[in-house]
Amino acid sequence: METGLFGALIGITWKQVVMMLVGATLIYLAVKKNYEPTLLLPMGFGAILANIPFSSAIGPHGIMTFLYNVGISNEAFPLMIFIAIGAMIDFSPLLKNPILLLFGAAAQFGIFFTVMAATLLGFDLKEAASIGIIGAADGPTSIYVANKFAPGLLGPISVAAYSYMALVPIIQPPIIRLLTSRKERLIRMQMKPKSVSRTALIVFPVIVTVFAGFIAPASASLIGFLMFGNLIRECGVLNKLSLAAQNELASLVTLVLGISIATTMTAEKFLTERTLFIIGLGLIAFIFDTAGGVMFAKALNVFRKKKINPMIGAAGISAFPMSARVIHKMGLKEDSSNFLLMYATSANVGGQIASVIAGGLILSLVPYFCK
Amino acid sequence: MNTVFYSAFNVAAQGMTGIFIFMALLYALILLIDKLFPQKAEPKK
Repeated sequence: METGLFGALIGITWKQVVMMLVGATLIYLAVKKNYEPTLLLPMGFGAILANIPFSSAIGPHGIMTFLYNVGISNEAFPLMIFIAIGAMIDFSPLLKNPILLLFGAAAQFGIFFTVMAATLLGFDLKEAASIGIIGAADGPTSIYVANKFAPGLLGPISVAAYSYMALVPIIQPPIIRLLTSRKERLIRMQMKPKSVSRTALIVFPVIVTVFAGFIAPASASLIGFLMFGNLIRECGVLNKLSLAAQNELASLVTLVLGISIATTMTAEKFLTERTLFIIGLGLIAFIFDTAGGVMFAKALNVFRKKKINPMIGAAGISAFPMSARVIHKMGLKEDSSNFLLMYATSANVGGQIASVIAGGLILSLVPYFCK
Repeated sequence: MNTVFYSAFNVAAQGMTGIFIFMALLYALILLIDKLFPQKAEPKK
């Protein structure tokens, strides 16, 4: 649109000013508080860029719209991020303590609880599922599902997902303390980790891909790209590619991912009552994820001789490795000689797989119930 | 309570069940992988 010089100053609305302030806040949180800076900073800057009146960055020929179309609309960027994440994950702690996989399942409870809560607030099932998946504590899965079911909500969902992931050290400890006694927090883990062969580490990503693909075909691309990245890491003959995936690919895609998502952060789409609901529901998802993991561990302890420290259950969310570190620190705070890091990491890695499976299940189930 | 909520409830029930079944099967699969490809003891020098 031809606006002449200073046209933007005349055309600006108060909503656009608010969105620029939102963008500035995201940049502040990224720079000053170090909250997920790789995503929140590009999103913050993109939000400012997208809300300049008559901005050439968005619209049919805008570069941000172009990036959105080539990378988000067709899910390419989140899937490429999954290759990078797969190359970064070491599954050996999980293979050493496979029982801790189950905590990954239990700690997805917040997703499904939030899906139900969102429908009570007036969201339709697809929107509710996209909001619930914030509880996956896994940015790319949230983006992937939201883009399929509710692309209009992608902006607030991404902001909520990445903000709460950064806030895991603040969100989880009070919930864990509320649900556990000191005696439970002092439990020492008595599991003996097994050793894992290199062949097992190579076979694992292939088998998981085939297995997940058969059970929930909708999860095939999500889990497949994650496991592809992991296979590159573990095969031992593609070290250069593994390093490239962990560094260059992760950096480049993250760089454009954030600014592409900001295309959806225009004032008319973002500044609504629904955004506030999404931010609130995202927090509920994280709280109930944590509670689900802890309560599942407590339930297991009723039947087990060798008790599990229930704090480990909270590490079943996908926020890796932040959640494992939080649990480890909480354990040390209670007893300076109780080291929970290895077990918490196993549960945390299990959570990474479970969150992707949760995304796949939601993608399979929701269309069936929308018929 | 509306029909959307009941659909969400069904998604939640089937979703949670699905995840637990998947993870339990994966657990069994890991045990199988461990049996098929055990860590060999390091040769003595």
